[in-house]
Amino acid sequence: MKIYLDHAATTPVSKEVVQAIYDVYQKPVHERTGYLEKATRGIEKLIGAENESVYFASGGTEANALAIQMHIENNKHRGKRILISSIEHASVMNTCRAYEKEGYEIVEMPVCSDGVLDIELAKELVTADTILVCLMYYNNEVGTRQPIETLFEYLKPLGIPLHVDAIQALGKTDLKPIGNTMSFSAHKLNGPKGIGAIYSDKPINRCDCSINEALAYGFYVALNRAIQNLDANVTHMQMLKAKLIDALLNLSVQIDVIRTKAYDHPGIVNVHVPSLDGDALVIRLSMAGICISSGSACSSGAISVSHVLKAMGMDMAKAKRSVRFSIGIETTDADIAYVVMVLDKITKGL
Amino acid sequence: MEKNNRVVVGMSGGVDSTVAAYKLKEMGYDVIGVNMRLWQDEEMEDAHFERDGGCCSLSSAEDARRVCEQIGIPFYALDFKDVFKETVVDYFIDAYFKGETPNPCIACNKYVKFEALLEKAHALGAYYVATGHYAKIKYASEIDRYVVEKSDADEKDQTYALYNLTQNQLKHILMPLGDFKSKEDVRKVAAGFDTAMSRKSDSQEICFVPDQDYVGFLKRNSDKTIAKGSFLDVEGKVIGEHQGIVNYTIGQRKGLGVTFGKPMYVIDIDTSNNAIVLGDNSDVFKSTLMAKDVNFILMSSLEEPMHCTAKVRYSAKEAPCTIYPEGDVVRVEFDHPQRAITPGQAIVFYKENYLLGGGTIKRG
Repeated sequence: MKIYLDHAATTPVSKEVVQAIYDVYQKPVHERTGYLEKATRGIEKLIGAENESVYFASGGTEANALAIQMHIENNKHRGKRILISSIEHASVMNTCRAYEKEGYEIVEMPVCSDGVLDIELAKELVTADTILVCLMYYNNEVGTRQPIETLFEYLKPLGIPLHVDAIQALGKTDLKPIGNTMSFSAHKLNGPKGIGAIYSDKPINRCDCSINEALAYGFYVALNRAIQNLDANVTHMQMLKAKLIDALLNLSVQIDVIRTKAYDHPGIVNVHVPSLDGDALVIRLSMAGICISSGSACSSGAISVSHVLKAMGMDMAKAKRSVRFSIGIETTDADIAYVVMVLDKITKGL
Repeated sequence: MEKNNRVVVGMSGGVDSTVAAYKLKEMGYDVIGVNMRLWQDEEMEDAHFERDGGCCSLSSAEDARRVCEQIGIPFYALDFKDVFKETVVDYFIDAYFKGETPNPCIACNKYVKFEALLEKAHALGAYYVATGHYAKIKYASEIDRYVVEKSDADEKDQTYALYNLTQNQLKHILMPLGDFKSKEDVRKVAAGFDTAMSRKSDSQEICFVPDQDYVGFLKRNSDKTIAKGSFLDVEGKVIGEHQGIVNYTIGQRKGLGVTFGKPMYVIDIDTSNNAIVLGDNSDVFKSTLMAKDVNFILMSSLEEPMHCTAKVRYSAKEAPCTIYPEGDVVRVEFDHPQRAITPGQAIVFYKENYLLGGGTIKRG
């Protein structure tokens, strides 16, 4: 039995998407260019964005990097201060941090203990020489929805750009363009790896001649599928998420579940099991055929304490005992029941 | 915890731990391979990444992952950075500044492999931890104790680094390489399922000092200053300038940086005066030493003097001696003087083929 509950990391590619990619590759090279145009217009329409506002990138990481670099380049005459939330993804944090060497000041906007940006404090941190603010849509580890609308309303009249990492949000909610740029990634919504996109409210000077049109088209087909079934998918995931949380709270050992509201990510559940450390829990689940993730696993599999949980004020020991379940559209009732049964055994020391 | 046949094997990516895991699987154990991610000197991370020699590099983790797949056992990489930094690296640094020569492998066995990893194994529902050490762990019913017997592969015997394991630890440890007659035999087994692995060279250096420049390592990782001082002769006369006590170890002759017209050896490190005492070859030999932090395996404690053999370092030959209990330390009188008895190093006692116990050589 294999159960995959790590959809916030990556998702299986759906058959329709594989077929669409295959179809593009079947065409002679000179007949493929139309697909790029089709994918771009298609995605723009699906997210309610204007024509010529979506650009492809090689993935979510590159999408974040391109957007951030563009904002800094366009605004460097205005100052050297960049604000990012303390729970941003490593690809946002590291891109910004790289500018410290060039004299830029990176200031972290704190979150409250519930994993949501402290909006009042964030506003206070915005100064006249701030040239960019980065705030994600849904956090990837705890699933919390961030107040991007409120922050954007505040920044707009000041002329300070907002970049929104919406990688966990696309295809999981009725997403509309908010902020000056947004980043997306196909493989989080049953699309292929190796393709991401940026929405930008201003034209980006970028040549798309070497974009893989098959993957771009696969991205569009994946998003189309996600949006067509959005309500059903979200309801399904939310139902399974509620079921999982309910069952976890009913286990005989104490388990803490991090706050989750109706408007948070429909599939992310971050759990803290005081009696078991995170690694041990992940491994014991893995031995029972269940794939989840603990902390932020790097390529070597080494696990460091989550900066997100730390930013939320959780102590190191507790953070080390936290794991993330993330539900996907193909997750079933039976999957959740099996996971709960295994967890019950593990926590009872069986 | 109740006895079961699940075992966590510490997988370094090298030949020994690979064959240990393979043997256990053959013997019917429920084997889980774990690569321990250890603390690394940040400055040297590139070196760690590029080389493939030592046991702690990323490429070694990838080797461990590959062989686990070949053997058909689950593989996980786990983080032991903090405990390794606190119990091995910090101890290593402190020892040099105290004028001692540390043995980080012994600290790693005690606190990391057979404490932290064992705890993790229990959390994974495994009764046992196993390693690729060349040693035999047995239960001796006549004395109702777990005992450690020397490996059949004389050259590779690693019992020296295991002297301070407790009965409670030994109960949960398996060392399936103890019965191998030589490293070549181990390589042959490895060649049966992974040819690249069987050709890997041995790692013998300090894994967290990949370039082997431990003085450079101390400079980067300690805020203490390495101050120059005096070379003294046995009478206390200043005969030259040394480059800081951490550069020297007892018995050292090469690399003193000064020539004296005759061979001179480090015979003492005097931290209170920041001095290095030099003497001739005969001054390097001593018959007596005091051992602290002693642990016994064949018995719970030393009650009366006992004749046995002992090694003052990993590479030393066993020499006959008598050990005397003196409060919480043990006095060791060798039948014949031993070369370069070095504070900080382990002295390990043997009774014939069995590990009797050991301790840390005390200063002065």
